[in-house]
Amino acid sequence: MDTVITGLGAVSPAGVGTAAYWAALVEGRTLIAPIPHFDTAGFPVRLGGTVPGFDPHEHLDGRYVVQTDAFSWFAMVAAAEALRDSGADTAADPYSTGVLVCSGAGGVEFGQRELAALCRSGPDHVGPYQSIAWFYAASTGQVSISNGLKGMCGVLVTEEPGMLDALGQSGQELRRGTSAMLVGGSEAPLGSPFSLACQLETGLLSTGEDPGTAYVPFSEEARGYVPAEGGAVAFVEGSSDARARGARVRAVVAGHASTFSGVGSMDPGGEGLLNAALGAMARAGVGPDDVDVVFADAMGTPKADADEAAAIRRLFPRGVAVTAPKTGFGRAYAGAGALDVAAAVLSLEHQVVPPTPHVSDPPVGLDLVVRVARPTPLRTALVLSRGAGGGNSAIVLKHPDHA
Amino acid sequence: MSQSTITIEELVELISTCAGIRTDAASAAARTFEELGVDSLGVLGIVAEIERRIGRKLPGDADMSPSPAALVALVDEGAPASLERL
Repeated sequence: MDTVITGLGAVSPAGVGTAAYWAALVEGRTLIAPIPHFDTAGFPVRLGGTVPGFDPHEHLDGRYVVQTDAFSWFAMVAAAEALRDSGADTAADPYSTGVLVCSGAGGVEFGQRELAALCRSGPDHVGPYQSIAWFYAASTGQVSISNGLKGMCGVLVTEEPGMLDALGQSGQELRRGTSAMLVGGSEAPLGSPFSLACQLETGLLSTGEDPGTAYVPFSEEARGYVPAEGGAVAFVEGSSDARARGARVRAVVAGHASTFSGVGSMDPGGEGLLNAALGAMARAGVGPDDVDVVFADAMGTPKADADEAAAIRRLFPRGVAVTAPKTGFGRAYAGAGALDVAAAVLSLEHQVVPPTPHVSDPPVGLDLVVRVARPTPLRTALVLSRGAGGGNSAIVLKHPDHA
Repeated sequence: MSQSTITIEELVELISTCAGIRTDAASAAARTFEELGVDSLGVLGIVAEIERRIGRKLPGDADMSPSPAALVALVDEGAPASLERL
């Protein structure tokens, strides 16, 4: 049984909604700007991709706003869009729909606020919602509670590849009898000094101050990546269930695989990423000539980019279109894989490969789509993702007409 | 000098800031926390904020108060003025 995506939602540096996200991707719009949430003086990192003008009260019941951190807000808003988009009646049997939202850090801004109150004024000044708001599982929990979804729920903490892994796991869950799953990933890593400080030790963040040149993977000027906030959620179900209720299938999840190859660091050499891609393609039953576009991980350091380019050349000796639309807004950690999956689904739907913003020329031997979007027939997309700590994942998504 | 009692109007404000629920004095006076949609963690936060404002601890079961009216009464009971009246 195929797993299909029948609903999609996104909150990104382009704003709320998948329509705003896709419009920005096709344009290759610059969504990187100085981090507005706090004073970054004293930090070597000044730029980020933040969700513009996001007021949670416009989207969520007030009681959820006071209980939760921004990473849960993004997940809840994206989940609501995905649910609406699916047209599914999840209330008929609340136990048939599960939730699996990935997080890489939890509610750090909320946590910093409460810990500051603890240190400044004592334990009586720590609010009771600290007990739930900062946990990794808060986003899944609140999506479940606010939508009355009582099926299998979990949170996956595998950093950037989270959404890819969640989609893989949701396939298993659907085979076990769950009717549908809301799967996604979200992160809010730019809300407080503490959250930014936690990211500095990787040494991978760009210290650039010009949004146009701070995050330029696969180029000689590559100097790390720009962090971002946001996330995406997909509604997935079995293809027969989708067909039975007349749902619009947005994409087919054809194959997923993950590897672990670098203890405490990024995958060295790209072997882990290569093997994840080979595994996902084998499970999807596709060869190099069947894949029309690759959404690259695009770490933004010379070594990581060279490793990834080498892996892609080995996978596709006759070439393939490659893009990394995240260079327009940054890497949103657990939200990054989710936003890349959303980009791939939208790309297949529109039959357009969005460009890799800010990278002006493709590197030798890699058909990187730069400057302008490329309209082209698209049957199958491969999404690649690497996470801090050494996880690598790949997922193959197919256009429903070619599944 | 901190205040010694709390009005239902102040409680309406605390229900909004601590639990994220908007209500009015008439509803707050007539309904239970559950009917207003305030969960147990919400009441816990409201009690902590009241204690900060009145500068004294409420009884340990204050967070079990079933309604805003009951909580206002509980605060009144322990207020210095009401102790003097006894």
